[in-house]
Amino acid sequence: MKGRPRRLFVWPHELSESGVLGINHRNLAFIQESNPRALYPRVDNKTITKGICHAHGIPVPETYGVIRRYGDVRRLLEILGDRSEFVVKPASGAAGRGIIVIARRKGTDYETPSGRVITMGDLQYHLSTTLSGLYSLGGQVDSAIIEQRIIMHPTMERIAVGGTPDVRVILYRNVPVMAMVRLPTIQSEGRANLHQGAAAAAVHLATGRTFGGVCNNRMISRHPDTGELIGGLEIPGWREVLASSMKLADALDMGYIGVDFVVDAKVGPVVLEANARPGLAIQVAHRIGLLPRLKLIDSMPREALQGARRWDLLPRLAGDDGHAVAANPVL
Amino acid sequence: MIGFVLLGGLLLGLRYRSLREIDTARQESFWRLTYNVSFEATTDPTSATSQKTQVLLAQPFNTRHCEVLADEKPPWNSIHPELTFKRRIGSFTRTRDILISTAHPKKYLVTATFDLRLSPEEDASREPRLEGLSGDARSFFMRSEEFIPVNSPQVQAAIDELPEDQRVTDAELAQAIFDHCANIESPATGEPLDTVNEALATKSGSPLARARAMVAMCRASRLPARLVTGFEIKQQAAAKPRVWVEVFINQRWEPYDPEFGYTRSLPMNYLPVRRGGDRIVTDEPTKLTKDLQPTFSIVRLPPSERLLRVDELHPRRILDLNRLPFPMHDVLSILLLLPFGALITAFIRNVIGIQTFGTFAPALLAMSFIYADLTSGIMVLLVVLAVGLVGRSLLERLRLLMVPRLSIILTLVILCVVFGFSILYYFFPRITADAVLLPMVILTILIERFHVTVEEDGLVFALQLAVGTVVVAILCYAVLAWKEVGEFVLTYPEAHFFTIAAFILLGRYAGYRMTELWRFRDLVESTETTR
Repeated sequence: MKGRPRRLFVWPHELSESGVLGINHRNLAFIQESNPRALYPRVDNKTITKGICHAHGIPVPETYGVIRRYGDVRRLLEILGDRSEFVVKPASGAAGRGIIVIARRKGTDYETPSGRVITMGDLQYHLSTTLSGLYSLGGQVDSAIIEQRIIMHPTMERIAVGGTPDVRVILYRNVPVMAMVRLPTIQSEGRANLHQGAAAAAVHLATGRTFGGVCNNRMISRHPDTGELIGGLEIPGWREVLASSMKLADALDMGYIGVDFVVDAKVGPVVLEANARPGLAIQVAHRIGLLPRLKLIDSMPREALQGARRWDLLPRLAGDDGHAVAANPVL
Repeated sequence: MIGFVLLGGLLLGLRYRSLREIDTARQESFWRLTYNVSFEATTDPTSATSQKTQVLLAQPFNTRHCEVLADEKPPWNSIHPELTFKRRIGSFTRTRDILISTAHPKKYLVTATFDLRLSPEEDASREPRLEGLSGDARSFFMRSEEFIPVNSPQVQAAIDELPEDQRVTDAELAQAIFDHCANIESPATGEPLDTVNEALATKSGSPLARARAMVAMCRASRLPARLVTGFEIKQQAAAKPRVWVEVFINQRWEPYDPEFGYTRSLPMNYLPVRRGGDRIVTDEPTKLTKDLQPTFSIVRLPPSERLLRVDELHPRRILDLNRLPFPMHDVLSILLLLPFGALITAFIRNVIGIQTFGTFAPALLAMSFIYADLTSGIMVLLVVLAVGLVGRSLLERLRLLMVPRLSIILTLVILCVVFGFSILYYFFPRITADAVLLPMVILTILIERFHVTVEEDGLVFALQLAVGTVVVAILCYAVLAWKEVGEFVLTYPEAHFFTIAAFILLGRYAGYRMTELWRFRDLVESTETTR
């Protein structure tokens, strides 16, 4: 790649030859086709998602309490008890908005992992603004979830900067088609959202090993802040990630979703949330478009997309049988 | 989508037709041309057999602009049972005569009326089709007549006077003859003469003499030509027939009026009645009448009831937005233009891929720029941005819920804008309040979104959105400020069926956005290198 002048743009036919899925195509052919609007609350509201996970035995972070009314804000201390680490997040938040992670107590105040001091007043104000809908998708009245803080798995520490990496699996018709691990950066201010400047490494579907990488829509192979190689990492509990994602997809009844996990040091992979409009930058991380994989699934008989038979599909989707996709670990 | 296009086209066509109908109805006019002919029939003393007295009344021709309205009844009217009426068409001239004949010597009175519709709309199908001139017809229109002395020396002398270089084409020749005859003036004193030879020799003569001279000169120059007698349609109790000339050039009869100077195209109110003669009513060739006295009148008829009632209140007129009082037009047309703004926004978002705050914010912003002018709009924008940003960061410390906080910012912005307006008014007393009200409300809402985006997605992303919004808003402004487009949609609101069709087309666009060609560029290069 070196020595070649970088092109500013490419032609549409080149993109379609690479199998790249565009936003319009995704919205029309996949999101609108397979995700009925009536089911959106299942993924948009985290309390509902968590309820579904509980009902199907999918591991999630333990919920300490849900604050639904302004009156409950004063009950915060009651809910927290003497816990010194927890997470406050809006139930309908999008793109990591409005999430506060508390790592330890500092007298009567709290402190984030990065050391920012947060007073009880700050926390209550944050809860009130959350309830008033500041962080919710459409600005409508929201509720706040107080839940277990996930302790990062040691494997991930090498590539984590100022936040917890999460693993996203994109499923089409309940079959995982692509996965990545999203890495917070300084630019993303600790959040794992690619459009805010976070980085990501592709995860090989069959092996759970990372390769490739993307940051700000450009291909990378090293972490933009630390320079650490992001490929060649094995996601701990990869089979559990896949199993949970398929179970959740079955339960949600939506055809095109992204499921986000964090890998807890003790519990293993837990579901953070599901997303009905997963982004497309994952294709850059994989150096390959999504379309061939989606078409492969559409070409499969119905039975092959159900139950345990789906596992057999994964190596084919990842391109291990020699066609469709060129997996290229440690680029 | 095709349904919407068809429906839009159909409704647009219907409205266009009805508007056009009213428009032509407004311009057209109805006239009644009346002939009053009195004559005394006589018998020919020289003839042994009793010959009938004959009078010919020429009926008006249809022209491009004027239509003789056909009636069931014959146009003539007479109380005398002794008269017989027949229609006759001249073989070469196509003049449509009414032939009145009688064998009883007696005084008669005959009237004939023709209703005419005059309209600026041209309808060429009413005119006789182009046809060549047969040899007989050609010699008919080249012949020498009693008052058209083709072979007279004066005519030949006049032709010799014409400049040589102007006789190359028939049109040039006819023009030269026309110029020559149009210069014949009415004499300063005394009755003008109708005769050609005198007119050409003395350069003075009556209008009829000019027309006859032109016909004679044309015929002498081998151009078929004829006199045309008719009327100028206008209100006149005693209408005097007018005489002009037609010359056969390039396979068609071209009119020339040496009296008023029109050539090759006549005013639309010229109505030819007799071709090949200078009388509307004549007793030729028998000449068996005494005191043949035709008088003519032209009166204007009232316009159609439909036109006079066009302003009448009728439920159907709800569909006509132009009838609303004029001050509403601006507001209505801006409202009707908003879908175009949304169309631009949708196109830029879905096809080009520039992100904006919200779907309608750019169009609304553009609308606020229209209420204000662009400069004061942008000034208000800057004030609102500055006050909003400063106010929000100050308020952050107060820890308020979103709605009250937004309301405080709104209050602050209003105070600033109101006093800013007051300051502006101090310097420029002509500024209007319209300029600030609407933009302010729209911008205050935008400022909140801007600030939330700054907080959650970073300043860079928020600025990207803001720039995108302003760019799209300016594009929308360019369309919304286009007055002709506004007037068009106000007259033809059905045009929005096409807008809907365009939205459907955009809504089905599954291709790449232009920004994706940039965004995913690495992917193409990587597949190239890995292969």
